[in-house]
Amino acid sequence: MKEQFIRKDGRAFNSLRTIKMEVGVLNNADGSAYIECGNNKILVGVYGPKELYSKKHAKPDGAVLRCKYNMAPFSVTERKRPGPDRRSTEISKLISEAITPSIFLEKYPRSSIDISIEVLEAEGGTRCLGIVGASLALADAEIPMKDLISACAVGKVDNHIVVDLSEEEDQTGQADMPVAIMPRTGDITFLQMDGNLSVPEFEEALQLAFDGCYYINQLQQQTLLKKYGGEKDGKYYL
Amino acid sequence: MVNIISEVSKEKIFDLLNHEQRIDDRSFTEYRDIRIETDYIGKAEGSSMISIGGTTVVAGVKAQVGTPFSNSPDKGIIITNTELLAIASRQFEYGPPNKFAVEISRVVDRAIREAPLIDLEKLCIIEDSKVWKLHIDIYILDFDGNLMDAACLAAVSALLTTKIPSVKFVNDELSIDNEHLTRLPIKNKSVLCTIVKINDQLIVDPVYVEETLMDASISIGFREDGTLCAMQKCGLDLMSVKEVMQSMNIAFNKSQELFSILDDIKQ
Repeated sequence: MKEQFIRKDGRAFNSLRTIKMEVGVLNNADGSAYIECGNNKILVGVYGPKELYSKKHAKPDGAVLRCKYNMAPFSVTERKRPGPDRRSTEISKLISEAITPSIFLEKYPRSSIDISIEVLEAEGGTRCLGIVGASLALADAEIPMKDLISACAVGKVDNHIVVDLSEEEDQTGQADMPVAIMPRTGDITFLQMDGNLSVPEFEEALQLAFDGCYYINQLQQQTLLKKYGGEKDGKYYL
Repeated sequence: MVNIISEVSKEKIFDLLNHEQRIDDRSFTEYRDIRIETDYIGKAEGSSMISIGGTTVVAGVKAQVGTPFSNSPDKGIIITNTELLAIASRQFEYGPPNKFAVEISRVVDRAIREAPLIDLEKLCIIEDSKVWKLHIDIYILDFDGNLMDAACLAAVSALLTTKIPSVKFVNDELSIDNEHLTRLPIKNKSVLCTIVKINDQLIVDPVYVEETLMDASISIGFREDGTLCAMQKCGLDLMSVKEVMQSMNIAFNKSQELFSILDDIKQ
């Protein structure tokens, strides 16, 4: 039954939009990543670990992860006023919480790691792509990590549970649930939901989100391999 | 917010948790006393002061006639805002809402909007030009943990008791009749229930010290029919799928209790 449901943009319930990832795209940043997914265009830069000048916020036992999610005024249909708003404040907080468990922050006391996520064009699912990009950029900055955090959104559209909602599906759908996981352990680092779901639907959606995250994790690994995998035989030693 | 807690109290709390006990002798899935006083502020269209143990929150609803957003010309508007007052805690500071306040506003807003608690289409007066605009202001007066549940309960109980003036047209002019008040069009009630993961245990309704020591928390919004309407994981640690499902179970049972408290409100 489920396989027959074709979404407005022609995708099946479990197919993601075309994703392109690239790392090391910025010259000055310590690490950077660029992601395109459908019409989403997201650029992430990482600076650090560096000395944290604000002593008030410094931690003696580890680095402070500072994350800023920002949308360009031209990224959405109606011009967005520049500067932080409530939505971006919340997303920044959640993204930094989603990323934190993967980093060995304790290696860099009294310092900060700054992540800037710039959404150049938005078409649904930017917070998940922000997490995916931030993880790639951190790896690109050679910051020691336990795992690459992967994220994707699932939701309910026309009574079907689907993965990677487009902008239209996000606005007209019945539920939207972005999830981020640590693929190696399968633990959840980020979970949000709005809309209406019953508990069995939630379980189904969560399973679909995990499948999506594992797929995105593969892409993340391939992206890093393409840039840094030295071995010709394609073997990569983690 | 940098919260400092002594090693000794930390050890004590962890030790108690390992013996299935908490510092205030509650069980893991027991709320503190919840008190609700509605119609607390006379000048507001709807209001409620609620306290969960030592946490006290006032929510006030003010209604104004405004212009609708262009993408929803036939719907009323709700705006939720939270202020962490400096009198409430040593860690709160004056100034614009910080990320914690913003997060509370947005999660509560989602629980109300997605249920949906209010039939926003019925708040439309003239399509494209005049709709009711409800400002829900949540004031945190005293802080002892579990702000999310308290803020949501305050906002929902304030909305349940809100009465807005009726509108009349006199010679094609809109006039607001403050004598005849009507209740808001309520559709589905919703509550938020927050489960906190601390030292690998799951507890509800944390007090301030427990919240300081928490690893992660998950706030789950339920409608009265038991379906989900909002969810948010906070905190710096991760949660396994099993923990999420366990939390969901606990939160569902607790949400029934919260609904029965809401049912007692005189409407």
